[in-house]
Amino acid sequence: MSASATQAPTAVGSDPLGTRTLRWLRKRERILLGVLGVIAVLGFWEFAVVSGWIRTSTMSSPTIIVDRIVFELDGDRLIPSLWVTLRAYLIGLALATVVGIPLGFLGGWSKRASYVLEPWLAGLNATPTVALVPLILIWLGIGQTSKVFIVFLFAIFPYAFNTMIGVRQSEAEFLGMARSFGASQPKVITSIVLPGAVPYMMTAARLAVGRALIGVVVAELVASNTGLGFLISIASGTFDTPLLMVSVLFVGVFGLIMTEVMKAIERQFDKWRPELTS
Amino acid sequence: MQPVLKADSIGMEYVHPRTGRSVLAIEDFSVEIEPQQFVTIVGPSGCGKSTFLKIANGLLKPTSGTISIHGEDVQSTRGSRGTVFQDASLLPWYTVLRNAAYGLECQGVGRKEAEERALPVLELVGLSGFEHAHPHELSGGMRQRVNVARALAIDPEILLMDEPFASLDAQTREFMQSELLGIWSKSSKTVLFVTHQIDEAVYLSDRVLVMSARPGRLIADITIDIPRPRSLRVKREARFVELVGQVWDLLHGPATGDLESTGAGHVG
Amino acid sequence: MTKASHENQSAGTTVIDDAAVAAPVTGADTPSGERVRRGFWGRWGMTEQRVYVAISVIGFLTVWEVASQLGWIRPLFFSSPTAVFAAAIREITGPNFWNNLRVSMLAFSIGFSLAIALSIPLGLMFGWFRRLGHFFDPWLRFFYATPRITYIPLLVLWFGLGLESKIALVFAGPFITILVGTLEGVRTVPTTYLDVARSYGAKQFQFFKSVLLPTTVPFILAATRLAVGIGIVAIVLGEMYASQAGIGHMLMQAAHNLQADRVLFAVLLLTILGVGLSKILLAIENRVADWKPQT
Repeated sequence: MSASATQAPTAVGSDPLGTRTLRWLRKRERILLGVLGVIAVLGFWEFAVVSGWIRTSTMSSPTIIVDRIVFELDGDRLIPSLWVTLRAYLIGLALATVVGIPLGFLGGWSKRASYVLEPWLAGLNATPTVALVPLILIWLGIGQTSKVFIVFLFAIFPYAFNTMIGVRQSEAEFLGMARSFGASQPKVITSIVLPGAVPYMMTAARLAVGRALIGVVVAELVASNTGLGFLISIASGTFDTPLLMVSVLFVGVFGLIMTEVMKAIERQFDKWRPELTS
Repeated sequence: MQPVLKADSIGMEYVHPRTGRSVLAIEDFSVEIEPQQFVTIVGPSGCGKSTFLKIANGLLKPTSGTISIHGEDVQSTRGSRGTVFQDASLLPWYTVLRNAAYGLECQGVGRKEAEERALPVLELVGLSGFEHAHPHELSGGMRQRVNVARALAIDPEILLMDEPFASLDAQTREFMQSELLGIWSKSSKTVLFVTHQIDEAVYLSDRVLVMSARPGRLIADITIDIPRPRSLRVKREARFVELVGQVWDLLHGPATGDLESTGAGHVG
Repeated sequence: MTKASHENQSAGTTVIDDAAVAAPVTGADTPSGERVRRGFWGRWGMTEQRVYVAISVIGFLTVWEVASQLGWIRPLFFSSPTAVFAAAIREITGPNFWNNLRVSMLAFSIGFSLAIALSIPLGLMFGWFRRLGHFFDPWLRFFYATPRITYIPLLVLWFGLGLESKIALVFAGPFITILVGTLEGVRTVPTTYLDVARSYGAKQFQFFKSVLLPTTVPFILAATRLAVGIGIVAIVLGEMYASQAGIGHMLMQAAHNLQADRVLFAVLLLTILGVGLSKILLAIENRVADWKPQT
């Protein structure tokens, strides 16, 4: 390898890998350390189970979990549960988007509407949404409807509140400018108010995605007989640790993917945020 | 010749929102601006010059007096004037072209046609090749060019400019001043310009209107007889310095020989 | 329609953003910029906003009560303001309420204290030893992105139905939140500061004390405030899911008996507790923000 030829004589002279390799490693240090961290923790876990320090029945082990994933992917429990959960999740989230954004727009655009809405939004924000779940059970019983409604309830708040703030933050300069050019009210809304609120809505969407996931799991843990949350509940009740771990893993990975995707989308709109320096 | 803009004894009175007392911002302000003239209002901060610009724009209704553009009341006409704002006020989510076309769009012109009409104006202000850039990619001076283009694109009877170079650094400001003169001579528009910088006013204008501190009253209407085209070198000529001094004296009272009267001093 | 933008920036100008650990408070609350209305209402110190808020709240409660009294909505399902009030009295004077409250509070305070005691040192450590932080990064991200309530069944499996599992629940969520918050705080300290400190020969501990801690504390406090909510959710849900006592247990019991008024009382109680706690923490945050010189 040519790396050794360009080796710096003093600084890293003792390094057998050579400077170029080292530089390559240093640049990716973060990722490499992360990968190492994952492997190390999993390895330690496996080793601890194999050598009998911790019990398989309570902690399971990475290999057992992997085996179980393979098994469950073939079976008729995990995937159907996943679909049930996903459906409630997406419907609830979509409803929250469709209702929350116009509600927030109204609150941001009309001062009077905001006076009426704000105490309720503030109240809803302060209330642990989880505590409302029993109420929804009384109203709607156990089933898909109450599940969707719980997801909706968890996800609507960020949409309404952030859209409201976003609309309210419309730049005064922009509004004055449009007015002086004789823009109509709808034109002002579509060209200034709504685009200006988009970054806020994107933040709302990222938050809502996370909250909706909490909502769907909560709903399924306490008020459902289907879905991933219910599977978790069953696994816990039957002391089936591997299944429990697998289900938790699925929820976690799903949450991770959704959050990262939303973050990436959100970053795209950052340059939309108006800056006051001109 | 019929004047483009005719203001007749404009008065503007505010009721202070908290104290409830009335404040006189502008008093008995009359002016006529001829076609293709470049007229600047200069005065101390709070003298009501920006208020007058808003009145000329139809955004504020004067408490007394009348103002018209080509004989038509400004309140009832839209599109007869284009405004260039102090902050560029470009919409960050639109391209340069769309921003330049925005004024037209506000007046109900379809997007496609608006953009077609804005294109040559962008060329006029020297922004060819930047049509598809976004405002955040532009420098301060370039943003002000888009600001100017947006106002020019609606092909107004009169261009109203509200301290458009105030937030630029000194060098860019001077450069933009001479650029503006170039654009103005090519577009042959009537311009009403507001500034608190005396040298800017003298350099750009055919006439400088000097306003007093509150209540804003017209205290002088000075014709700038420096021949055009003017290069930035004009600013070092004796006649220019003399005119700047004259305006300075009007705003500060007769000079007692201090140094500032020779320079391009700020007011307020 | 009126534009509500610039005259009124009162209520909440900060965008909520709880996933990416909240930015610390950088100053006192923005003062309400509302103009006081003159005339009749002004004499009573009523701003237009207060009038509307009052109409909104009182109006809703009245409609609710009347609708319930007249039988437009089923009182069994939707209860009514007076019924909730009656339920509150009944509950407070009843035999189990104080025990339920005590059980929940006990688990919450132990679990939350443990979370604070362990997460802050760990967060500082992961931030200070950058490589160690990167080593554990994927795990932190995973646990941070998973709804923490998902661990409830696992913790119940490990710790049973008693106090231990509730403590573990209240510990788990806030622990991750505060840890990540602290870590983010340390990571906002620019590496150049570190280099400067070193080039002036500052001892590591001195740097830690004079630069790192002051910059990190606001982040820690913001994350702690966030964690209070998470902790409350954890305890309530944990008790709802599986327990023999606690406010969450009472909630679920009420739901199974179709006692909407009792549920609503519990919701109200939890809201007041949550708001109270986070108000206290916010006050502390503002205090700290005041000490800090504004940069």
